[in-house]
Order: sequence, then C-alpha cells, then structure tokens
Amino acid sequence: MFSSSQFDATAGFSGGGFMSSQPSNFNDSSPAPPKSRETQGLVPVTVKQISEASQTGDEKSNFVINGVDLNNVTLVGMAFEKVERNTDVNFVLDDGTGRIKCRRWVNETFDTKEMEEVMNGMYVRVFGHLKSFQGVRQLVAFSVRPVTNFEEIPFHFIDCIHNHLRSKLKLEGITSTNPSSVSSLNTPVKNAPNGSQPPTSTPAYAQYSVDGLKDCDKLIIDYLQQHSDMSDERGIHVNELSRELKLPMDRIMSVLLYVSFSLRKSFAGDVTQLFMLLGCR
Amino acid sequence: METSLFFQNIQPLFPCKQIKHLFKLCFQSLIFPPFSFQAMDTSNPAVFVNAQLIPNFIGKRVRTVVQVNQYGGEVATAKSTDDSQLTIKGLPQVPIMNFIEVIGIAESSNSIDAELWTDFGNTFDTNSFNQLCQLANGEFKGLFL
Repeated sequence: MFSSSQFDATAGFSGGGFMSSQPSNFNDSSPAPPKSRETQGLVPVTVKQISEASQTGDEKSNFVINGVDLNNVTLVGMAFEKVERNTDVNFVLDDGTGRIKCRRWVNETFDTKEMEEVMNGMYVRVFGHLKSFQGVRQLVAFSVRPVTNFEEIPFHFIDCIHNHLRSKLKLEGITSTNPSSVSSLNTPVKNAPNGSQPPTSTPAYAQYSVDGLKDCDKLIIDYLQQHSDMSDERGIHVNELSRELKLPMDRIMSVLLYVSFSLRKSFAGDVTQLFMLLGCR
Repeated sequence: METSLFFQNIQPLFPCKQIKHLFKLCFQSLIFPPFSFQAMDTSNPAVFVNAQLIPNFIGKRVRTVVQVNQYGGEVATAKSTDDSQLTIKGLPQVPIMNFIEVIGIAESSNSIDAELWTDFGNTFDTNSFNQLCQLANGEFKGLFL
C-alpha cells in the first residue's frame, strides 16, 4: 500500500526487512498468539525507544520492543541538516529524546514536492521503516509531513506512552484492564435499575470505583460511542444519558463540559481519551 | 561537518562543558561502532518540564511551552503550563499571548535560556502538556531520557 515502487528502489534495504518479518514471527518464542497482527502495525516511538530496541539476530532481522516488532514507525520531531540529492533526501530528526538519521527516496514529483516543504528547524511527522546499516539504526521514511497543528507534538508523545503501556501489559500477560472493565461496568449499571431506582442515588455506580468521576467519564463516552448513529445528527440527549446510565444530571453536564473543552482540536480529543485509558486526570 | 553536530547545542561560554562533551565522545567511540554517534545520538535530550519540574534540571537542556505575557528588553516574562511565571532569555518578538515552545538550558528554577523556539499559535491544550511533563518525568522516564 505504501508505494511498493519505493521499496523496489531500496531493494537492498526494505525488501529484505519486509519479507523477513514473517519467518521471524514464527521463530519467536513469544507466548502471545495474535502477534502477527502486531507485526505490521505502525508504532509511535521516540528516538530513545528506537535506540533501546533489541534486535533479534543479525542486521536483516527486526527490531523488537516490548515484544512488538518495530517495522513501521512514526515519529514527530524537528528536521535538521537536510541534504537534497538526485535520488534521495537525507535529514536528521531530533525529537528531544535523541537524533536519528532519516532518508527519503525521491522517485516521483510527489516525493520531491513533499520534501521541498520540509525546512531545517521545522517540526515534521515522519512515517518510516527502521533499518540497521553497518550497526547504525536509520529510518527509511516513506512519508514526511510538516506539523501544522501543534497539538500533534504532545499527542505523539502521549501516544508513545500509551502504546508502550499497552504492549507492556500484553507482554506481561495481564489482560488490558480498561476496555474489559468498562464494558463490564456498563452492563450492570444499565440492567440493574429496572426497578424504581431514583436517578440521583449514588450506590449503583459508586461501588465500582473509589474515584467516581473517572469511571463516569468512561461510562458516558462508551455509551456515546456505542449508541452513536451517524445518520442522526442530533446525537444523544442528555436526558437519555442520565436515564440510561443512572447518573445525576449535574455530573453528566460537568463531564461533558470537560470533554468538550478538551475537544477543541481533534488531537486534544484523542489526548483526553488517552489520558482516561491511562487512568490519570 | 560531523563536528557541527556535536557542538551545535553547547553554549560556548564554559570550556569545561566542551571538554566534558569531548570525553563523552571519546568514551562512546571506544564502545560503539565509529558511526553510531553520527546517526543515533541520545546524548543531548531536552526534558519535558513545567515550572514545577525545572528546579530538577538546572543547567540541563529542557523544553517547555509557555504563554508570553510581556517583553522587557532581552527578557520575556511568560506563564508556564502550570500557571507559574517563568523568565525566558533570548526570545525574539513573538505575538503576546501566543504559546511558544522553548528549548534551551534551564538557568535557574524559573528561567530558561532559549536556544530554539517555535510558535505554537494562540490555542494550545496546556492541561495535556502539563500531564505529559509529569508522565515523562515519572513512570515513563525511560522512554524519554
């Protein structure tokens, strides 16, 4: 999908890496079965994480971090020392945790145009493939885009933390607590008060958490996500939220205000959700 | 060309800093393959800080986002993401009340000597950045430093 022509041009580089991902997957003694799903994913990383990733075997094999293959990665940082040549553009990406050399092959005018926009000292989002060449870790970039919405910068680092936490938990065999616990939180609250439970009573949800507001956030957002009907632009009425989740109106309004305040930009919205998953306010 | 990489972020004021950095380089070249510090260099990170965290990193390279309140000659007074006042040196004229990311050396517990700066515009989620600073220096320090 990501322009196989580019990988043909770099036959010495990514052709080998791309194909070796499958055999190395089977040779791995990692216990997690759905690993093949993780192998081809795009992992947000910091340069520091790349420098610490272990490499299974020789140069042609993949980098591994937290049991996840680091094939395709994405980074956000400042571009420096941009050197334009006929066939490729080299630059150094500094994301505040370290510097890594990046190479972008330019075969078509689209590639040249994309790289022309990149200036030294500019924040860019890079998507690329990790390679090791003569013991040196480098990035073969297949997409370099200037950052225009600067919420992307804290978002990327929070994304790295989130991804690290998620894959670390999977590696340790602990089932990820948040999604399953929230879904199990949802059903009891919705099914239980079929009787005459007044909406202002707290016991229905207070027993599930010490920090009541945190789980209320998750309940509301999950309800919204499950019941969102894209064809109906009116959305869900707060009365319905209050009725279905058995939460007092003022609590719902405060949560919605907080979420909508954070949702000024799309990245900020993702950030809020990420923070909730991380379990911090 | 390679030397510029090493001295780019060193303040040319105190020779002892340069000497320390040279020793670090010699040590690295003995352990790692000769090209490693050219391509993958994690020796000079910039720590995510807010006003509360700066005192832990005096003399070190830090990065933070501030909102500039006023200018006084060469020095700008700015509000940090945790609502404290910071002094930023070496910042050119930027629109007041814009959010600026500053990367530089922390001179004291409330001032930064700016090396690089980026204008983030007039909207920015300070709350998220603040929490990122706490995470990046707390539980998830290993991903950054």
